[in-house]
Formats: sequence, structure tokens, C-alpha cells
Amino acid sequence: MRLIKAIVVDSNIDVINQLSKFADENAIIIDVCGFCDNLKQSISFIKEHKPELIFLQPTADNLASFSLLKELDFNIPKFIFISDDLTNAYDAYKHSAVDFQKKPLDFNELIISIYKVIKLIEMEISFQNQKVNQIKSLSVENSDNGFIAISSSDKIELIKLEDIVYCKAEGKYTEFVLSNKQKILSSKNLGEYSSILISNYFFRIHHSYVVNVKQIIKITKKDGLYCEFAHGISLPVAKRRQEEFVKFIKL
Amino acid sequence: MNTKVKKVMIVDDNEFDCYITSKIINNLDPTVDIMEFNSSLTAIGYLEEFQNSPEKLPNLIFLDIYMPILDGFDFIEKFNELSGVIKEYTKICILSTTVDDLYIHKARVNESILFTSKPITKEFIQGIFN
Repeated sequence: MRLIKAIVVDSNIDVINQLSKFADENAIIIDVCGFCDNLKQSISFIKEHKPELIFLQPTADNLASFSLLKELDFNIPKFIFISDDLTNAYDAYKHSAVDFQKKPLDFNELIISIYKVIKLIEMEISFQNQKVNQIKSLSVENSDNGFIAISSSDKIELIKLEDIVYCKAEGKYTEFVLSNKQKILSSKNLGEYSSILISNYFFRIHHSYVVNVKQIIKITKKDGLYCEFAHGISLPVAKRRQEEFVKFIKL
Repeated sequence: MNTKVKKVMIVDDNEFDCYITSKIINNLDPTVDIMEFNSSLTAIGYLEEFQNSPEKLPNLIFLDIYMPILDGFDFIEKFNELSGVIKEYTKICILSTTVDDLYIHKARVNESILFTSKPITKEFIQGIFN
């Protein structure tokens, strides 16, 4: 089970006693590693112990010291504000505190605050992991392993990039034409493939065509540029892409 | 608190959630006997074994939805195959964090089963205990 490391920044003896008692009773989920009178003085302690949670008395002084937290070179702790003054709830929102507790403290209310803190931390971690995995899988897709996965409605086919002659946009679908004349229809649009293809030896010669430069047999000039491939296939290069295309094939 | 709920079963694979639910109940009424099960399989096994012995049975089951192998809805299906004794004696309350509309609908459509979101509140407990 996750043990949350917390400190208490509060000068009120009742709050300190109640939170100590609460931490003792719930030692399996919370560890209060220190008590401090005010936020300013606690900064070095925070830097040393890296708590995930701070119980804070929102005095004007403490609120003014909030900017000190920006110096921390680790994740800023979560906050639970504790106050008699309900207008401090506004400050709690302003400083993105996870919860606000009124005095005297109620242990069931506190448990729910801790629940919120832990769930928020878990959500942040899981969101981050998800992003990291997304990026990883995108890098794998983009890596030059020489293959591309083409998914249609009923299957996924693995095709060697070098076997592709060209891809043609067919509305929201993409048609792949291979060197053995085989045609494969994908359920993704051309734009979704272009980033993978273009990092290799493919070029978008036209709004509707991405071609494999290695499959071009010759380029003819007659009312614009045409790419010719085996089996008599000929595709036009769009006027506004001609200059870029010429640069690309000279590489 | 004067209550007719004496024994509660919590079925949740997340130990932390299990702890929170159990703590909130006992903070309100320390006399309630709480059985925590982190495995839905073990929990349903217990109920199968004691389905005809009310003294061993909980009055109330707090049931999570997302659990491996046997999820909350599978658990309810299994529960419905048990004896009339247990179905008369034990009430189920789904306790979940789901944001899936289908699951929320599915949980609410059966009126004999209670539903609330985590974390459980003392108001909700007081409401069903009294």
C-alpha cells in the first residue's frame, strides 16, 4: 500500500496534536515526518525530506511565502489547508490545494482528504505513464525497421517499405500499391502514414500520392513532371511540389 | 450509532481503497465487524461456503467493479446463484470510481443493488445503516 509522506506547517497546538493522533492511527497510509511553525522556516526541511503532502495553516505570512516553493527541484507537494476562516477556502482554490478542512478536525473528513490526495497522485502518475508509453510506441512506429503495419477492417498486414510503389489517398482510406501489383486498402488516411513514410525514402508528389523514390524508373517532363514506375504506372507531380521534389531526388 | 448492520464485507482488490472504506465505517461505528477481501474469488468462495449460516454472513457487501478475473458484475451474477437465505440476509452496494456511463447505468438499473461513488461518505453510511 502507498505510504504518503507529509509535514505539518501549523502553529496551532490543537491541530498539531490532532494530526499526530490521526497519523498514529493511520500509520499504514500516512507518515508525518515533521512539524513546522511557518512555511518560510520549513523550506529547508521540505527540500531535505521531499514530502508529498503539506498540511498548511493559511496565514497571510504562509500564503505570501508560497512563491518559495517554486525553487523546489522536485514535484511540488500537495496541500490540505486547515483553517477556521472559510474565506481561506478561496486561497485554497487559488493555490490548487487538494482539500480544505475546518477546525476542529474530523478524522473521517481527514481520511477523505488523504484519499483525494492519493488518488490525485496516482492519476498524475498514470497519466504521465500513459503519455510516456504513447511517445515510446510512436517512436517505435517511426523507427526505421523497414516495415509498415497496414490495418484494414479485418486484418493488419506487415509490408516491407521497399515493396511499396506508391500510396494513394482514397477519401478517408489509403490504397497501397506494391511492386508485385498487389493493392492493399487501409482504413487510415494518407496523412496518418505520411510521417512514417516521409522519414524514409518516400515523397508526397501530390495531394493524393506518396511515392517510393527508389521505385521510380524515370521522370518525364511534359506539361509538368511525371514519375514513371514499372508496369507502365505514371503519376503527376503537383506544380507547387515540383521544386521540392527535384531537391529531394537529387539527395 | 444504533444500527442493524453488524457485519460488513468489503470486496476491493485495491488495498488502499479497502482500508479507507473500512476506516470510515469503523470511525462511525467501532462495533461493526468488517471483513476485508482483496480478492473477489476468495470473497465469493466465503459466501458460497456460509450461504446458509446467517451468523457468518455480512448484512452488507461493499463491492468494487474493476477487479481482475471476477469483476463486480460477475460477482453479482455468482451471488444471485446462491441460496435464498443469503439473498434475503445480505445486501450489496456497488462502490466504484468508474466514469464509464455504461457501467454506471448497469450498476443503477438493478434496484435491489445500491450504488455510490468512492470515497464513501458518512452520510451515505448513516443513510443505509439506519
